[in-house]
Amino acid sequence: MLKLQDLTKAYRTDEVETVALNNVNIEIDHGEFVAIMGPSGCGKSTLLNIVGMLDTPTSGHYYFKNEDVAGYSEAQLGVIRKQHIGFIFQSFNLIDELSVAENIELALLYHDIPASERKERVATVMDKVGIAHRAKHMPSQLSGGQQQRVAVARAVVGNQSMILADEPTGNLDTAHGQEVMGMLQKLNEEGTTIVMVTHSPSHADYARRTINLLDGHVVTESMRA
Amino acid sequence: MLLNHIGMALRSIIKHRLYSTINIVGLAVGLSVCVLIVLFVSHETGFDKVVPDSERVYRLNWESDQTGARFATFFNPLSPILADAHPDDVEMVTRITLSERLLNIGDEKQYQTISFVDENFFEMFPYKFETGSPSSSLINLNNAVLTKIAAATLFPGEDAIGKIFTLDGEHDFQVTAIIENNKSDSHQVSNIFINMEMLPVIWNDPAIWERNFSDQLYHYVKLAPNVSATEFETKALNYVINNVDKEYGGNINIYLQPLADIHFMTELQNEMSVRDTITGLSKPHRQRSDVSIFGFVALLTLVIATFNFINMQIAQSSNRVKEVGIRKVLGAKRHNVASQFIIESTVMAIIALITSLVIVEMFAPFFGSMLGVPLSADQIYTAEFGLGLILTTLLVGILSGLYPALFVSGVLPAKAIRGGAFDGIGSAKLRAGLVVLQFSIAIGLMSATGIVNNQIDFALNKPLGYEPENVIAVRLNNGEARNAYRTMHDQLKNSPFIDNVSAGSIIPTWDLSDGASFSKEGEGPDFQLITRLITADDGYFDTLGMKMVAGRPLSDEFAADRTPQFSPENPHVTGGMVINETAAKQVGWNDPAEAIGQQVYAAFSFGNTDYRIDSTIVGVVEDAHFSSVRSEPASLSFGLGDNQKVMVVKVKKGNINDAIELIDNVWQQHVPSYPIRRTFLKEDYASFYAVEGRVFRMFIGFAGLAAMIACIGLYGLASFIADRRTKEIGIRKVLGASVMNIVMLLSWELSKLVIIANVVAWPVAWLMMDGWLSGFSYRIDMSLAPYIVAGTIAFFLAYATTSARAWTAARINPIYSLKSE
Repeated sequence: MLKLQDLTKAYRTDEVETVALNNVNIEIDHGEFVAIMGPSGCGKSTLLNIVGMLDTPTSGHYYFKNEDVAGYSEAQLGVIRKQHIGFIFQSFNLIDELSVAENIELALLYHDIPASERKERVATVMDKVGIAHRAKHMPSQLSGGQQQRVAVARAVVGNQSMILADEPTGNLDTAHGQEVMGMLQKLNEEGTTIVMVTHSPSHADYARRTINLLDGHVVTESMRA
Repeated sequence: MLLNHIGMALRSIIKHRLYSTINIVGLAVGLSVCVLIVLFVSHETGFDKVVPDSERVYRLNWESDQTGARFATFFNPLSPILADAHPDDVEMVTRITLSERLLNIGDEKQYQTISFVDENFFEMFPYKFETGSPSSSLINLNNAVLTKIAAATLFPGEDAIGKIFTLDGEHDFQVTAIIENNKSDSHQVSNIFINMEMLPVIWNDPAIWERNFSDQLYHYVKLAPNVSATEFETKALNYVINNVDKEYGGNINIYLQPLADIHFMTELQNEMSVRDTITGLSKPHRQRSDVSIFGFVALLTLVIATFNFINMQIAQSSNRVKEVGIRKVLGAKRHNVASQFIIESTVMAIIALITSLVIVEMFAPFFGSMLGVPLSADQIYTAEFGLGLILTTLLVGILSGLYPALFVSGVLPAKAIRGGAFDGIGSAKLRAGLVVLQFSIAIGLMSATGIVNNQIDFALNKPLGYEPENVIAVRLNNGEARNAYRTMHDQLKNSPFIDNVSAGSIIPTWDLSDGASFSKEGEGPDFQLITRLITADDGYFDTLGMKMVAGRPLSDEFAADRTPQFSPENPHVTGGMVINETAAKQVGWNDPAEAIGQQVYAAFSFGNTDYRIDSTIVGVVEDAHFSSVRSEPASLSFGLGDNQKVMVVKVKKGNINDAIELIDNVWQQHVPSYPIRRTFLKEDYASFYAVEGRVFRMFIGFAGLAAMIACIGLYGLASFIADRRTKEIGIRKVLGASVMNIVMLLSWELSKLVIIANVVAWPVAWLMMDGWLSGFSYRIDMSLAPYIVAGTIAFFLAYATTSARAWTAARINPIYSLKSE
């Protein structure tokens, strides 16, 4: 599905150059569930941003579906991103002024899909994550777990083949965390590629492979038996 | 504590530079515009207020029952008679008249306007006497009083006291006093004063005090306290009918015109000159409505600027919820936080005030010169004005701090610290409401501007009914010139440089004077032909480019056309007459051709003699605007006669210089005692409208500024909304929204408010402008165009400013806006 080759990301301020990712080589196949772990500041989020095409590498190659997107412009990346990649954030990032259904529909709004089909797909995905009864509610009226379910629904409603989750359970209690992890696992079983950054070893266990980062390097990769 | 607050306020202002600057500049410009206009309005409305007891001082006017015309002048001998007869009602009367005379100082000749005044003139109109005394300076009939500037003009570089000048080459006057110059807000324009008792001599008119029906002077009367003006008007009329001449009965009305109204009555006949010939300053009469419009614009500008300011402060405050939370955690009480907000916005308002004072200082003289009014910023520093300004500023500051003070300060600290945007009670709605209001005003002003502009253009470019191009007017201002007119006429007419020469008692841009009411034999009293009379010479219409719509012009080719001057020896005269379209319509001759050949007569008795003028209408001439295009064209009749006051010369195109040289030579040859006084009719006409045009151009400028202020606020608001919605923009971008999508989204949100503002503004502006236009006899029909243009401009300005801001917001990489908290 994607392959990072000698990927480096450096941030330059006036005097200091900080290397966030240093010669990273990672390959992720279609249908994989990969967890990325590591202490704060190790480059997890940078890696996720680059994989999610929200950011571009300083050097190296990023092959997405065999296409080297490393030198692509923001607009080109945007087109690929909206077709293939869904995002889930630790802080949910729902729009406060929109209802649950509208928040989910937002992901289809920029895809030239007729309104009737959008409604249908939103309804389907809300059923799937179990928040259909909350469709008209505003995000502020939902619990954290419910909000994250909306976010998951939003991430997959466009039939994205890959979901990038940045600490999706970070703001949730254990029970809700488990619930969301279960949901991700189910999606993975249905064929969605999932890349997840997490601090929680137990949640990392849901993944079939864990990549450990330290100071911008991949230190270990471990496969779950 | 207060100092601490002010210090924090300043730091916060500096920290939020963009908002602060936008906010301060918007308010400062608004305040400046407002102050400048208020300076102008208070100058205009303060006219003649400096005269002591000005509320008891009136000018006597009379109105003709026949023509309905009201005159600024009053009958020569009547005011002292009235004063003597009503000692309990009248405290003082005084008179003045202005006359342009030839002055000799040594060998130098110059025309100057001389003011003939009653001895007590300076008691009613107190000028400061630099030298000499108010009571004694004019006792001697050969004394003269000069203003400082007149003294400097007549006797440059010398002490004028004791110096002598000669009037009309025969009467010597000695300067006995120097007084201060005329105030710019006094309707008086006199600079050289002479005792009125000299009039019979100077005008060679020994009967001047006997003629009860001559109105050559301006009469001022100061009533005793608590005497009602309307009651005295009736008393005065009854008295003159019963004790002076019964002929006044049924023919005239008497009015007391309050001193404060003189500057605001534009429709009086025989009005005193408004131009100070020595300083060149003109103090044109204004319509009160025009001054009110300016005041209204000032108010609206202030309202826009204030809303803007309040809006920005509210918008800003919800970004500071977290700060408030921290303060409260650290022990700040609610009132501490509240006063901090109020102090902060007040400090900003004060900075804006100081900025605006600088702007006003810089622009007051320029602004004044545009309006033809000497303005200086000094007036602001009077107690009244300064206090008003400070109070306004404090009010704006406190008002705009009030909302955040009341609502944001009430937020719970725990909730506040958790962060996120704060949606105060209705704050979004309140903001939207203020933006709508602000833009309604701006759109209203802009559409009003368009209409004012169209109307002024229409009025100024409207066919005048005469052709001022290449016409030179030469004043026949003395007997020598009047006697030489026929000779000069013939000599000029033969020149290859000159198309046509004629003369008349009155030409366009001059005041109309005498009126008459004509009757028709065999018709009842229903027949109405009341006109103002103009005496014209052969060729008058041709020379002035006035077109006949029926019949023919008056001409010496028809012996019967010329009307001789009536006199006690010759009380019954006949002649031809031309009337204008308005006069024909007044009778009911809707087709001008009906008027041709009609016989009418005017009969009146005077001093035991019955007079009668029989006139045959030979032609109807197109209406011409002798006075302002604001007023209806007057009903006019023209007769061929010899009462010429001005010679008009139509010059062949391209021969102006040759023609002028010729005219000057011819004058020199036949009128050696007097220098020539000539003007271009085109320039007379232009100066007639210059002020009016300029005043409204100014109005247009201000309306534009108000719209600009509204847009400044919109940019600020767009910034604020973009900031607040950073997260949302990030999410939308992650979900695939393009930069364009985001820009459209944000711009639309504000632009739709501007659309609502249009809906609010149009009907209001329509009603108000319809009212304003009704003051014009020739007015444009209102169309939707100015509204559509104003609305579109506002919409695009709003769209452009918001999308400019939205563009920068949309370009931000979402990873920065979506960083986990």
